[in-house]
Amino acid sequence: MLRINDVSKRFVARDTVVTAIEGVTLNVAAGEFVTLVGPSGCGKSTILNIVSGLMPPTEGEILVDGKALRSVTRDVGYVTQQPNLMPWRTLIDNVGFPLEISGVSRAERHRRARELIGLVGLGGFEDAYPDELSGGMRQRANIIRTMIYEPKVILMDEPFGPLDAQTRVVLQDLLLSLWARTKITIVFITHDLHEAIGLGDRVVLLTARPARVARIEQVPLSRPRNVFKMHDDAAFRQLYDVLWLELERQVKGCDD
Amino acid sequence: MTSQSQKSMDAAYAEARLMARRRLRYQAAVRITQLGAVIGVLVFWQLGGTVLFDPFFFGSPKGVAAVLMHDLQDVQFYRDLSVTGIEMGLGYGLGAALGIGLGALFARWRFAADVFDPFFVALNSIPRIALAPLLIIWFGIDLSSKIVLSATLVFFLMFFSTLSGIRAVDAAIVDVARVMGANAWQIFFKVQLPGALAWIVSGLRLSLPFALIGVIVGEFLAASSGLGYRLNMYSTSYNTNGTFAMLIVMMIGMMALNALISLAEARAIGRHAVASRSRPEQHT
Repeated sequence: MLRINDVSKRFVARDTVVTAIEGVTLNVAAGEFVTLVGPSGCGKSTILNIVSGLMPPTEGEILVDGKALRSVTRDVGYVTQQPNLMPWRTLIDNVGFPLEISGVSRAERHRRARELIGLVGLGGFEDAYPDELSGGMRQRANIIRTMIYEPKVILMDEPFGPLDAQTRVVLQDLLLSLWARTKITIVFITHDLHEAIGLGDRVVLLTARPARVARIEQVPLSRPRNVFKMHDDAAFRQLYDVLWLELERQVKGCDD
Repeated sequence: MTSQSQKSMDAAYAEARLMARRRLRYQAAVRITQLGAVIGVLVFWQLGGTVLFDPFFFGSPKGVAAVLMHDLQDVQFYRDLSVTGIEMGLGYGLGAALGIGLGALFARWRFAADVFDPFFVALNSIPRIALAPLLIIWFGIDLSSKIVLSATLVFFLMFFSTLSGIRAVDAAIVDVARVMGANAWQIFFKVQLPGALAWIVSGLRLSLPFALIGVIVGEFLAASSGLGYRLNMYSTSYNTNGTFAMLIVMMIGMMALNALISLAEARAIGRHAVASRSRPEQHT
């Protein structure tokens, strides 16, 4: 479904070349949930900016469903770390926005938005403005706003990063159930190893700047998963310990 | 247990009623004090005129009222009022339309903005009042010179607030719209313009008094009708009561227009500000 083919990104800052990403290659199968984990501030978001088409790679290419990615496309959705809802639109009109720009009728987009809003437990808040919603509620809206137009691949950039620990687990659980329903392909970035193992089919561990693929591990946990309890699972602990050893090395090597 | 909670409910209601009553009493006190201040000034103005200062220079409430009563029955006054109203309305409308239009255009067209920005800043630094004599030479002493003067004042305010408003729209939100497949027009009409609406409306409110200033200055310099002309007639003939009467007319007119804009503002962008006061119950 998604091929990241030997992608590198270099910037020139004060006459020196800074490499943010170095030769990243990754194949993501249709319906797969892949998590990318790496030290904070080490080029993870740059990868998503390239895969979303917002930023061209210096080298390499991105293939979505066999087609080379040139620019932004409706095939690739992007859930940002900040909810980035439009403060002048109500919840239902924020969620329905992607359908509005593709010309779906008001009645139809409200019907589909209302369905998703109900699914993530925001029923009753359809006419609320973003500043009337909590951080967790806004992030739910951000996720379903991308799901509503059914892109083939959804990228998520630490969507639960700014949330408190309890809300985060509730939203992880919610995301897994949405994913199980839609069987959409998800590439999820996080710096939280618990989150990466708990959500992903595979965990891709990245190195500190420049970001390279350090290792890829299959998560040996069955689905559906219980995000509230799985941390006690022996297989979870074992994978966690293995990856943590590697991540620790990277974190210590990364000075920003 | 039930009676206990009933009692507690009653106490809560009683507390809410008490607070509502306090709020009402406070608001009443504010209004009464305001009324007292107005009456105090009027009494001082009227009585002081007999001992402290000369009503010839400072007028008196009674004198002002007499002029107002007289003018309100004068056909010529209404003609002056409507001339000023038309000049101001057209100047404001023209300046606002051009300012918003060009501001929006420049926000989209980076090259034009970068080329013209220093010129706009330079033009805006000209004290517009000093332009009035030139405008009168160019456009004559009729309505058009006042309309143009008023429009030049409004234009720059609207231009800069529209431009800044569109630029202030969060780039991340624009990116989100792009990723969702919005084209340039959709980004402009569905993201940037609505995002800048608060700036545009506040620009409209701020530039309103300037529209009147432009018109009145123009009428001062050369005109044969209008409130500014009338005010000038009164003041040059040492009719201080007449001068004050015209100032009061302008003040009331401006306050009425301001109230109108506030209403429009509340309808346009206040919707979500108003809505946030009646938030639905949290149930998550």
